[in-house]
Amino acid sequence: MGCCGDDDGIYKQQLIPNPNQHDSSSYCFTQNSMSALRNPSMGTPTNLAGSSASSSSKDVDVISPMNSNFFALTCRDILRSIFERLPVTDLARAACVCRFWNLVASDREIQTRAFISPWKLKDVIGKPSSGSFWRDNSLGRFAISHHILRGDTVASLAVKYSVQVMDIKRLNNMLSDHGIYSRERLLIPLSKPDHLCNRTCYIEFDVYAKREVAVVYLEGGPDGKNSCLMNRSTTTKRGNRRVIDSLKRSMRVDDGTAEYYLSISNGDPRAALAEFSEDLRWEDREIPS
Amino acid sequence: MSMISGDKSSTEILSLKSSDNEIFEVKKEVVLESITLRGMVEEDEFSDTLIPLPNVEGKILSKIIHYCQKHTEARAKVNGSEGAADSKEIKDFDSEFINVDDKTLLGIILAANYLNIKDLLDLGCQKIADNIKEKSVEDVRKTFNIKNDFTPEEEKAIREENLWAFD
Repeated sequence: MGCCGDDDGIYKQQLIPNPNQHDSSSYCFTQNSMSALRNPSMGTPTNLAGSSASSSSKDVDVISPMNSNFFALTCRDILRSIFERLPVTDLARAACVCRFWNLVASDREIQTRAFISPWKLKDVIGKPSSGSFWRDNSLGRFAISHHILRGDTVASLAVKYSVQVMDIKRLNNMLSDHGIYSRERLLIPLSKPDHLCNRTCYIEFDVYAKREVAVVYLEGGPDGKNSCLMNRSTTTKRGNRRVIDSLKRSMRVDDGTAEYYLSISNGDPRAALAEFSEDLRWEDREIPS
Repeated sequence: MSMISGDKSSTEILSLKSSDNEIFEVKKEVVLESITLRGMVEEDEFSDTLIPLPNVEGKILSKIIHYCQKHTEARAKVNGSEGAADSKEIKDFDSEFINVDDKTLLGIILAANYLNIKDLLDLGCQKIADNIKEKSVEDVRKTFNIKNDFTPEEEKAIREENLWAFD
């Protein structure tokens, strides 16, 4: 591989060559380490340049990323560029290769991008309780949130969304077809990805499904039922006051906190609640030892 | 673009010196494909002399120059319009070009990163991503000579978290 010239100081990183290392070692060196490598037993730098075949066959000594001739893969920017192009499963595997790769592959932005790209989602909001959520972006991870209206039955919903009754019941852990009116909403499994295109999904822990689900709201926002009310009410001062009071009651916090969450959720009370509960979960998370 | 005397720039030849002291004579317009070099050249520091590139070896540099030449020519053919990079000819060239062994590929990526040649960097990263896809974790480590520096407990935890990826 290419080496720096004698008078080079561009790569400030000091790579300490292992004396046992053979010629397939660090790509770039500082001046001091270069002299160690010009040791005749390890071959001259020109050998380093040309010997692509020999070095890869001599991989008896497994070398740490910092000393490998594939220095490129320890450069964070380059690794990010590569990972940005990986689908979810390959990204998950990349996270298992070594510590540094794990660090870069666990970057939220990269994970989100891999998660939403095959479905052409616009965005995903919310923080899952564990990183393993990101590693599976099959259709089963997603669901539509249907706000239950008078007259809805599981059968009518199955028709409306073109899914099987069994699938709706299974997702929501329903033992019978009745009793849906005690719930605010039902999660509807996705039969085809069209509903995901260009939408935002919210990571929520659904108490009935008993797991985290990436939820899509077809009516526009997490508070679909209140969306017209919300538009009207938040434009007036009194209306805004009502929303803040309602949030204060739900979250059991003070004015300032309620206002903060409302503001970061663009005036959407449901989203504010989601954010708040995410933050609570974050605070309560178990720190891995 | 370059502010140096207009007439000269199209035929002006610059010299690039690789880390192993190989010298390449390159047309200025080709050199300007590299944003890094464009900056050096426009500051007029190197208009008469050699531009040393101590972190790029000759073998890689010659490939890069070849790439830049080809792309400059293609762009000239369509008069610098947007469609240049998408022509079939260029696409075929690119896939031939990037079909190299991993070491060279990484050398190209590093050099493209240093020289700031966006298209080449994208091409290289995409190729590596394609190489990584479908490979098992062990294979990736072997291919890129990466040491598994997890402790056994860490490895176990990480594998569990990423269970989906392993069938």
